[in-house]
Amino acid sequence: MAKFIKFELKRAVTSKWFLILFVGLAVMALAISVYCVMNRDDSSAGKQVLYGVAYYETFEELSQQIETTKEALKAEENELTEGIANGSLNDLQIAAAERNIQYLETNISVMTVLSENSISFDHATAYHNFNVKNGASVAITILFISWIIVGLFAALKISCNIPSELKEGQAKLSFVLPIGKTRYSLARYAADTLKFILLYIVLAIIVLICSVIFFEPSGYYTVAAVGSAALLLSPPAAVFLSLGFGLFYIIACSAIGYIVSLLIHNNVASLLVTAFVCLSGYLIEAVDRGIYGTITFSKYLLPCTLNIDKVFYSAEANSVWVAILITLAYLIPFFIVSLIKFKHTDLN
Amino acid sequence: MQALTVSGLKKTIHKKAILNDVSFTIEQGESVGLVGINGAGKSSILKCIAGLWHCRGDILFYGKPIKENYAEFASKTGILIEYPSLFSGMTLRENIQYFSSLRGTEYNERYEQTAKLLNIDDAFDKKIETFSSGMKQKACLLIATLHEPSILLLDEPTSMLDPKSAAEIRAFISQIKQRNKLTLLISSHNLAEIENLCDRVLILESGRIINDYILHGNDTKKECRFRFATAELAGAVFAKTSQYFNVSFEEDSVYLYGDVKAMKDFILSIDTDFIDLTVNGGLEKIFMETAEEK
Repeated sequence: MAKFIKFELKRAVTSKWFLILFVGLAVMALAISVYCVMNRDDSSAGKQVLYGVAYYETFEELSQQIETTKEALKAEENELTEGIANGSLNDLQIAAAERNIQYLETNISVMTVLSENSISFDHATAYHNFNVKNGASVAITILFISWIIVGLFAALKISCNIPSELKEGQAKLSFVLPIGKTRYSLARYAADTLKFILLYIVLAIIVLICSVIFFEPSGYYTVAAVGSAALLLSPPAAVFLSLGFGLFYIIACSAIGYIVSLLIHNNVASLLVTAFVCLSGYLIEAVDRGIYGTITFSKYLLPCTLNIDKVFYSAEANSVWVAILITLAYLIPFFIVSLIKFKHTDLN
Repeated sequence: MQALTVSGLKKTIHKKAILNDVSFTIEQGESVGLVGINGAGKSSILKCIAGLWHCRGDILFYGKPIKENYAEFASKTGILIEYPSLFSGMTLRENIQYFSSLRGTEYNERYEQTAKLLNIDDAFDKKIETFSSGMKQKACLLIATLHEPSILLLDEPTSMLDPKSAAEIRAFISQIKQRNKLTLLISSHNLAEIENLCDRVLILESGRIINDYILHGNDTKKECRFRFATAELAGAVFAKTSQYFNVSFEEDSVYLYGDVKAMKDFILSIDTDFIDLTVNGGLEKIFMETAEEK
């Protein structure tokens, strides 16, 4: 299997479509970087958003803001406790109060981390808010777009592997190899996933290089906050974190593509089902929000758990580990079932 | 030694019995042909043996169940079922490397020599999508035999091919059969092809074996025509064989009245190959008689 994976990786380097994808993404990374450099003096180019933190010029102002927010949080908590105790709040009001408390806690954690590290307001941007002046923010944006594209490409490519072989007839040679058809399908899946993982890693390195060349490598940060914790991300840290999130998305999407390819032996159907599962997260969330006003059931569905960085920009999202566990809870049983089904399927 | 033992093979698809208690054995080095009308079960038997279909019954490979020893079976068997295909976007060399890497072997110069036998050695660096049907089939046969198998399972290897490609494929099968002492199980509608390549034939109907017939045995004394590429070659073969066999010579053919198998072996032993072999009143007659009896 190692020999096959090595051969496939070598072949990927000379593959036309693979090179087009890589060059396309690298050009996109370069173009966004250049666009940001050219627009960094344009004050209207991007509005600074920082988890509701008000603009501050001095750190005294920031400390005052922390104290005010802490008082507001205490008042909100007291109000909620009293409201629950005397029964004056209904369920909707309790939920709203809890959301507000969470929001204030996030505010405080962001302000605290900015204060502790003496970061000025202009030098920090909230995670997932595109700020042309901030290398970390630009890197996150480029890598977010990239991992969606790479993950989708990987999933769609893998979803067609087995159906294509069955339709075109390669399966009549490849399924009768000593490794057996199940291990063969796994080898192809592993080789393709590895190709896209390596592509994404190389792209992340290019993005890191771009952020060093085009932006001030230090002094600008992105703040990723959830609940009472906040992370301060420099451009290299942002690239590293996006690398992790992106790899999870690519691996999960590849697994979805593989599972679908084992269960549906029709190219178009396999492609459509895979694309739906990988891309329908935003649609399902919108429906959920439309019905309940917030994210409720959708965060427990596979399409909505693939982007685990959501925890930094959606207060209702599951934590990273919960999202990973939910994803695995879907993928592992489906993976096993699809392998067993495939093993027992006759090839016509 | 029995290379393949098939016993009580049954396969049902959508409640319809495709194979109905099929049993036969193939000795090591023996060549067996499967013949029958469409839907008789020829391809189904090959698919079951190759592991592409799940079925009931026992299939043994040198006495060992194939199911439990599939890796060993597949490493010693060349399989070409129905209409296989290579990866059209890759060159023949890349396809060979692809399948070699899956077998855990390195690319070998021997592959190019084998390709020469199939007359596709000049197409090594051409993409499969540019190949003709004959070349594609030859390329598939090359891939299926790269690992020097001791058993070859072929399902209609020359169907829908031009006569030249079909003859080249038959010649190649004959050569590797001779060289590697191959055990061959081949299905075909071309009865002359079966007569050329096989020692024995299994005639199938509705998923059952209705006749198990030994071809070219000492008892089968029929007039046979061995056709060669050129009249000169036919003449040379006639000169060499006339002292041992009852033969006559006309244009590009040598006619024999006697032991076909011995004559075939003799021709191959003098490093010569014939284009085709026709037995008057041979397999076609047997096939028609068997079908009529049923």
